[in-house]
Amino acid sequence: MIERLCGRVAGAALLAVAGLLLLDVLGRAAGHPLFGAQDLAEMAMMVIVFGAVPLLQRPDAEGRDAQIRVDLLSWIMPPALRRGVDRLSSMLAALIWAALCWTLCDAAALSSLLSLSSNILGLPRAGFQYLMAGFVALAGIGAMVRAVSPMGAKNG
Amino acid sequence: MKMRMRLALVAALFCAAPICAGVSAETLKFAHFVAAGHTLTQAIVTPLTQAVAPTGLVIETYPAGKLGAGPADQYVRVVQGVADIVWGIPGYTSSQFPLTMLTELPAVQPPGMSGADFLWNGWDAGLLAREFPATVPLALWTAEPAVLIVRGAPVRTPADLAGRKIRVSSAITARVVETLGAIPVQMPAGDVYNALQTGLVDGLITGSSAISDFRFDEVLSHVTVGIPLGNQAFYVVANAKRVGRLPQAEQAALRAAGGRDLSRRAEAAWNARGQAAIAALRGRGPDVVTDLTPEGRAAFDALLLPLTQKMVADLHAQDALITMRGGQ
Repeated sequence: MIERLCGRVAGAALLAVAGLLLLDVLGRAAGHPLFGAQDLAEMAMMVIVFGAVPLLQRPDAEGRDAQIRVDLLSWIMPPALRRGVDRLSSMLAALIWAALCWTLCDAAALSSLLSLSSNILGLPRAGFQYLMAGFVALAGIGAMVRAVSPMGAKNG
Repeated sequence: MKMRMRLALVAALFCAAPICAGVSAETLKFAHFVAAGHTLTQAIVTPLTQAVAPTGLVIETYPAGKLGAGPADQYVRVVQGVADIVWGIPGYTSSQFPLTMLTELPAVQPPGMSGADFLWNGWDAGLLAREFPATVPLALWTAEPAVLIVRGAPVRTPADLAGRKIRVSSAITARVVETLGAIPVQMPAGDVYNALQTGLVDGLITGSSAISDFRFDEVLSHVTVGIPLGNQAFYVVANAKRVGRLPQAEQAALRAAGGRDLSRRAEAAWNARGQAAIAALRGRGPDVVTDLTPEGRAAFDALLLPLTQKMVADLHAQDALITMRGGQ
């Protein structure tokens, strides 16, 4: 449910950027470029990239998430070991997402301290950074849930 | 037993040597984003490095974005400790520097006053402290007066700019361009050469020293000088915590090396470079550089001076401006 919402937000941002760039290009040709198009495109790109992050943890029909896996050695592992490795990798992913979330919150706090905003439209940077941290936190929660939830044989 | 004692002594000396060496030779990382041969080196880096050298303090330079590319995140880098000293341009993060950015407003500096003095007046009065948190400013100055670079017909009056697309990098320049009847187009500095060449934009506002930095002389048709377009501000700041951890003598030497005098000298170097760029363009032909007539200047003043007043009023910065102008 939450992953689906994030996906829709990121998808909407992608469509918005496409429309924005089209308007800007047409506007430039007509002598009226869209004011602050670069500011808007930069902020929307953040939403697109980080909004899609929670989708990485979304399980497919076979219960696998969307992370890239190297399974060179999995054929020689017994199912129990494969499940253990899967849990361990999910925990590591959760740790990495947590570290990234902390870094983004730290960057947002610094942006607040420095009153940073986009240069033409003055969109506050901290708000977008906290939003990105929220997306990453969702991905981390998804990874943690995956690490502790029961797994079928297919998951290994 | 004696042998063991000797071995222990040798091991202790071996371990202590680098620690002692570290104490006696502090090193600060100076990061910037231009090539080592840029004016910044002779105007700021070399004088600063030489001034602190007798105390044993070493300043290592990381040019050309070695510690991170571009000017926009320089302040964040120094606060986070990625670098100890950085050179930055307030215009790229103008929301952080509302009063520093006053220098970009048309005709805001009194005639004869340097941008360095304008900014240090603000710093000494405590007006700019909020704009430079967690750092120690070592130099604050401005570039040479901005000029208008265009491709196509020369600009002698505001009417010549009507409907033309002018590249802008900050909200203030965008307001200036709109006020002059032109269309502001936002784009990164690195894209401007191609945009000017292909006609995506018809011109830009920048300091004349940027003409050679970005090779605009290859694609421009005319440069108009004398329009009151303000001056781009610069800063060199050091991480306050890092400076506070330096030994007293080194800290004092660094603080003494920075300040108003270093800033004035840097500004003089920028002005000389800008004048050289304009002189080189004059050498290309009689009509490349357009000097405004008194009537032309009056027409620009009539539009731009009220804009300055309005923007200062919007910022509630009237009192600050008087202080920064030295009471004028």
